[in-house]
Order: sequence, then structure tokens, then C-alpha cells
Amino acid sequence: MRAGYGRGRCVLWNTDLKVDTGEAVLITGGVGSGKTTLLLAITGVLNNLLEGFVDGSVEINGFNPIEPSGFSKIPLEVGFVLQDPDKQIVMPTPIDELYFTLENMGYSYSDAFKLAMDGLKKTGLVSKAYQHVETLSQGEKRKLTFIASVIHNPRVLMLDEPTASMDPYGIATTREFIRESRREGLSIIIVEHKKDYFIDLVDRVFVMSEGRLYETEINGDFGKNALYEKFQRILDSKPRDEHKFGDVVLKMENVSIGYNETLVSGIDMVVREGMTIGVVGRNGCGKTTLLKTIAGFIKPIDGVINRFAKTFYVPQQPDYIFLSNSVSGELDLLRRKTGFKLEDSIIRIESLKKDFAKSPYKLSHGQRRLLSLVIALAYKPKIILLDEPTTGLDDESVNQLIESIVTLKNKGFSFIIATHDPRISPVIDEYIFIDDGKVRSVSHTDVFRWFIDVSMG
Amino acid sequence: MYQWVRDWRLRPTTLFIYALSITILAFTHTGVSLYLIALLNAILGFTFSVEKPYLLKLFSIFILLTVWSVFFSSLISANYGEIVLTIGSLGIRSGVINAVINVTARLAAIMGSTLLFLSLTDPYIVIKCLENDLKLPKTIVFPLAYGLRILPLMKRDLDEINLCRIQRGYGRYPLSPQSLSSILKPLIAISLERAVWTGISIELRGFRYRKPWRFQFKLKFLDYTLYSLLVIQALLPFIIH
Repeated sequence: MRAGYGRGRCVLWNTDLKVDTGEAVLITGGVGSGKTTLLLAITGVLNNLLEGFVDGSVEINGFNPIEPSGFSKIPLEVGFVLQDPDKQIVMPTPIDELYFTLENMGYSYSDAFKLAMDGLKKTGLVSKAYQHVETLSQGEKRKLTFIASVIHNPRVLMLDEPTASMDPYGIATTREFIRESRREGLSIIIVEHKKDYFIDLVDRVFVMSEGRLYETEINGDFGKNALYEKFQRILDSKPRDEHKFGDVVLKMENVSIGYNETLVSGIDMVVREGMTIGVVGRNGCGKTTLLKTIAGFIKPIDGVINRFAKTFYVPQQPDYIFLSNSVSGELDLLRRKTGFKLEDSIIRIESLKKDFAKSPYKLSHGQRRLLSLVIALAYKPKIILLDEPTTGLDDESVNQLIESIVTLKNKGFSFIIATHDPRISPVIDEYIFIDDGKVRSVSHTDVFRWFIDVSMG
Repeated sequence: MYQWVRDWRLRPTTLFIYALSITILAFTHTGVSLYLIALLNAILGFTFSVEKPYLLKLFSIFILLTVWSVFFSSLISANYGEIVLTIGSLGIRSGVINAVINVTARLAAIMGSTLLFLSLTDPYIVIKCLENDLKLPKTIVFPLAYGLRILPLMKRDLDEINLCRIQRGYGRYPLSPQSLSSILKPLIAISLERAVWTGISIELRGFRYRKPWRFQFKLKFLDYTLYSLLVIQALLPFIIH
């Protein structure tokens, strides 16, 4: 199969893939390697909905989804989980979300009610069946998308980066869902760059690289111990910078934060020049609220925050920060607002240069993250607040981010990073863990263990 | 059974027809009758939307922006008649004031009835009722319902964009075209991307097969009251005359 977006933009080259009934395969690879495009091509979405093209043949249970007649059978045979639950959920309440699929498929109301309630019971969402989906946590939304994708009993399941914005509890939920789907006999294709968490659940592993698919052997250790060793190696292989920290730039004393009511209390924190604090905890524990409080967007409910330097908050979704239709437009705007000069950039921006004419919203995840950091630096803050900066980034992009952060730390910039990704550990000097409304200091090893133990079960 | 479809006190279909009709009346009525329907619907809309403050905020910003735009464009295209107000060396004539009042009244009527519709309905109920009662095609009903579904998401986007804008040196409120553009560009880009993926999601979940469940219904007292109010507003020019 060859496929792409428009005749001039081929993304997949000579791709062969065969998945047997009841088999589970994992497709991994870097950001922008073509993993999502592969799923869109296999399902016929690429050529039937997105004006792309697919050459070659695809067969799912005897029909060809590239043909319009075959594409119309896809919803009956395939359950699909998108990367972002907010893009998948189209109805206001969990039960309506399940009804939507079942009503489309021609189920009677009474059958649909029974199936939907069974599904909600299984996922622990039955008490929230009639609540607005915006009241659900990110993990609960993920569970809802899982059950909505298989409620009509498809024979094939496809998951596109299902853990992209998930904490370790979300990864554990995803693993359990895959196990359950395997027990049901579904054929499963998982696209995921966090391969270490899924290798033990699949039969075969493929790597997508520059639009080509290669099968790799599953060998060596995998599972919890392998992950412990991997993370320890990451930490050991990147020696922490030995420079001394400078003056105090932020001091928090017995601070309570939240919207109207207290979400986290008793926060004491001292940040010095060149220091990086990692804030960890499960989704919804108050990490983002803490960053926004430090940035001054939310008033603390109690306690004192002394800021001795300017802060800049970079949201989890960097798209919020862009204001122009092109990268060059962004840089021009920065020049007018802050006097920023490209040649003065502290961090390396070579990877952006070839895409100056592109819209910032069309850049890769890594490039967007880099551009958001360039924008933040132009405003000359001394404390940079990063909210889940590694979401959607592959290992190579994370390493580039780490390189930028180390450069900035050495120049006296301080960082507070809300994260549940241990890959960012090499740049973290101190971790604080938010749990059940309280804060405590933890070691790097504690963070690794928490992440691995929770996600791997 | 779908209790909320059968027993909903004020059917979303009634509210939909009401909002659509008021939008038409806002363009057919002039003078006192226009001002009356503007006043009535603004009061109704803003009263019932108190429990959905994000709607109030969105609509207030929209009205503010539109009134400013009309004022500036009227200065160029309708600055005739007697001078009513002088700002520095600029004389504001009666034509500008009339244009601003008329457009604001039309907008208030439309916004008020829309707010009433949005405040008293939920997306899936709208889908069910419009499909069920009016037999509207799914290609019209679903985009309307989805628009309602993503309002909380757009509110979240708007809040985050505002935080970023403030950090980047823009004021809290968009009072200039550049400032307005700094909100709209990211908001539209993010919404468009979300809409594309949602389109893929619904197609992969069999939207093309959609055959809606049908339910019996009866209009209730509140439905008749709102229809009566609509008839009175439609006849206002004749009543006043």
C-alpha cells in the first residue's frame, strides 16, 4: 500500500501488514512517521473523507474499505479509539455517547439501554451516566471512548495513541481494556509510541519509520523490571548538571490553591535560579492549578507567594499560545512585541527553519513545543512554567526538549514542570508529589516506581 | 422510555421554532415594535441564561464587538443628519446613532431568543426533538447539536487563549481588530482541527446509517404560552399601528 494526502504528498511507502483473527499487533515509531496515517488509510478514511489517496489493496473481513461500498461497512466491523477523547466524544452525557453508536447501528431503544448500562457498569461510570461529559476526569473520558468503540461488538479494534495524555492510571486502564478485548477475540491494532507498556500484550511489533513499516522481533526483557532498568539508565546516562543554584526566584509558604474551594493545601516551595522542580500526581490532582496560581492567573486561597522574577506559563496544548498564521508571522510578532531577534535565540531552532512558511498549527508536536518555548523566552521570564510538556512527544523529541531545558538552566532560567512522564527526569532537580490534596517531596526513584507500578499493575 | 424526550416541560422544538421566528421578526420589524421584541427577548434570554454564565459571557463579548464594529462602520457609511455628539473634532450625527440602535436592537432580539434556546436545552435533547418532531434531516440536526456540545470546550479554549494573550502583551478585553484577531485565530484553528477529527469519529461510528428512534409527544402548557408570545410579537406592528 502507498498512501498520502494529495498526490504530491506520499506518507506511506510500500506498506504490507497482515493481522490474523484474534491477533494483536503494536505499531510504534516516532512522531510524524506515518502511524496515524496508516490507520486512516486502512479504514478508508484517508481517501473517502480526507481527500487523500491510497494505492494498493486493503481487506478487512472480506471487504475493501478503500472502495466506497466497503468503507460504508467499516463502522459495523471496526471499533476505533482516537488519540484525544475530546475529539471522539460527540454527545453531552456518557449514556448518550453510547446510544449514539447503537442508534446509528439500528439497535432498538430497549436493547441499546441494556447494552449501554452494562458497558457503563463495567467501566464504573454508571453513576455518571446522565452527567455532562465535561464533569468526567480525563481517565473517565478515556474509559468512555473505549466502551463506545466496542459497544456494538465489532470484530476489529484500532487504537490511535490511546495513552497520549494519560497518567499511569490511564495507561493501566488502557492495558486492561486491551486484555479484555483480546479475551473477547478481537483483532487489535495499537498505534503507540510508548511501546514498553504494551509489548507484553501483543503478538507482534512493527516499527514505522519515514513511512515504511518494519516488523521487529520481540526479545529481551519486558515488563516492570525492564522499565525500572530503562528509566534508571535514562537517569544515569544523562548526568545532571553540577552548577550551583543562584538566588531565590520564588518562595511559597503554606499556600492553598483551588477554584473557590481548596484543591491542594500546605504547599511550601523554594525555587532558585537554574533549578527545575517537577510536579507529579495523577490527572486532575491540581498540577495545572498550581502552575496557574504561580503565574498569577488564579489567586491562592491561603498562604503567601513571593515572586522575585517574571514567570511565563506554557500550557499543555501549545496551540493556545500561537497568534499568527505562520511561523514567520509569529517571529515577526515577537520582534514587534519584545524586540526578539532570531539570531539571539538561546535555544537551537534549526528544526523550525525549514517550516517558516507553515502555520504553527500544522507543525509536528515537537516543533510546536519548541516554538512555544521560543515564544516564552522572548518575553524574558526567569521562571518558565511548563504544563505536561512531553504530551505526544516521542523519545527523540523529548531528548531535544531536555537539551533545550539544560541549556536554559545553565543560563540561570528556572523551571517548574507539571508532568507524569518520567522521561523528563534528567532535568528535574527536585520532585514534589500531589496526592489527595497534599504535597510531599519525593525522589526520582519514587516517581519511577509510582509510574511503573501503577501503569503496569 | 426516554423520559426527558416525552416529558420535557418545554419542548426544544418549540424553543427552536421560537428562536428562528424571532430572528426573522428582527429583520421584518422596525421602530417601536423592533425595540419591544428586542427588550422582551433580551430580558428573557439573559434571565434564563443566569445558570449558564459561560453563555452569557460569550454572547456579551459578541454583542460588544458587534456594536463597536457597527459604530465604526457607521461613522464611514452613515454619518449624516444632525450632529448629536462631538468627540474632539469628530461630530457624531444622528445617522450613526440610528444605525447603532437598530442593529443593536436586532442583535438583542436574536441573541435573547438564542440564549433562551441554548439555556433551556441540552444537545442530545435537541437532536432527539428536532429529528422526532420536525423530521429534520440528520445532516442539519447533528451539526446544530454538536455546536452546542462543543460550547464548553470552546469556553475552555477561550480561557486558555486569554491567559496566553495576556502573557503576550494583549489586554484582557479585545477592543481592537488586532486584539480580536489574537483570539479568533487560535480559537478557529483549534476548533477546526477538533471538528475534522469529530467528523472522522462520527463516520467511523456509523453516522451514515443513522435511523432515529421515534417517540410520541404532546405539546404542554408552556409550549402553548411561548407560541402565543410569538404570535403577539409577530402582530406587534399591527397592534401598535
